[in-house]
Amino acid sequence: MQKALEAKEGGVRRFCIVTSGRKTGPEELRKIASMVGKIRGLGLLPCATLGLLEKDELRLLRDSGLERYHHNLETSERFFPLICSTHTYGDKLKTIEAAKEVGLSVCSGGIFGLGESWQDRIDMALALRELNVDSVPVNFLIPVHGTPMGNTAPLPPLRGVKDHKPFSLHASG
Amino acid sequence: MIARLAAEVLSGEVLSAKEAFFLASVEGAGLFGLFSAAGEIREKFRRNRVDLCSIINAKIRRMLRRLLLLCTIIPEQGRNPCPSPPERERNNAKGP
Repeated sequence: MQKALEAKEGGVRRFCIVTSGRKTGPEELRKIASMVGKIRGLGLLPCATLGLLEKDELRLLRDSGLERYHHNLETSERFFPLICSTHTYGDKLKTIEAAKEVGLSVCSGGIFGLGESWQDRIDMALALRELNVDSVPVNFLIPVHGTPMGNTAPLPPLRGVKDHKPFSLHASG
Repeated sequence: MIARLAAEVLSGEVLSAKEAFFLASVEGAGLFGLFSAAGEIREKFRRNRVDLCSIINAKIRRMLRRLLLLCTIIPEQGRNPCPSPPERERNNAKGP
């Protein structure tokens, strides 16, 4: 909560609670739900990215004051199995659709620089347009030594800016 | 072509995959037109405003707190459980 207060004082409008892993367990989810209400009470818009949640779990967060759920598609359906083996693209779609069904605003985008093609990026943009998500973040891979993507060449910054533009036109159009 | 596509998006139409491929192929001086069109579209649909979104990692913070506690207590028993930076990097890569 201290960090949320600092963020508010720094002019931040949204405050997002993030956990790593496939999904957040029930005990942690209840704790986060209670934090969500307090963050809302500070006048911030609470967001959360907690993995593959079911509709009842998302409803609990919404009832606690959550405004937006963040869940990236990451890439195209075709490329997804090449970068993730713990869950499927279909699992991700299910969570995004559940979040929309319970009335949450949805933030969903992906990551460039994994070795995907433009076809994959455009397919992801089409999927996001179809899902009618409210916000589309685009991340750029920073290869970390020792990880499976550690030897991937990073996208030069200006290349990242250039690659983002056609995507933004397509996703917004 | 970029100006025509931008005008279509600004008037509420959607781009086809083929048109998106064309935009992806733009290079050199054409990039100025692409950036300018993207800027116009952003201003129309999202206005010239930036929202800040601050993020806190709930799990990692808890793990760090535990790790710091261990680092404080266990060296007194003659062992240092704190991973060196490369080990820490490898562990983070494995996930929680």
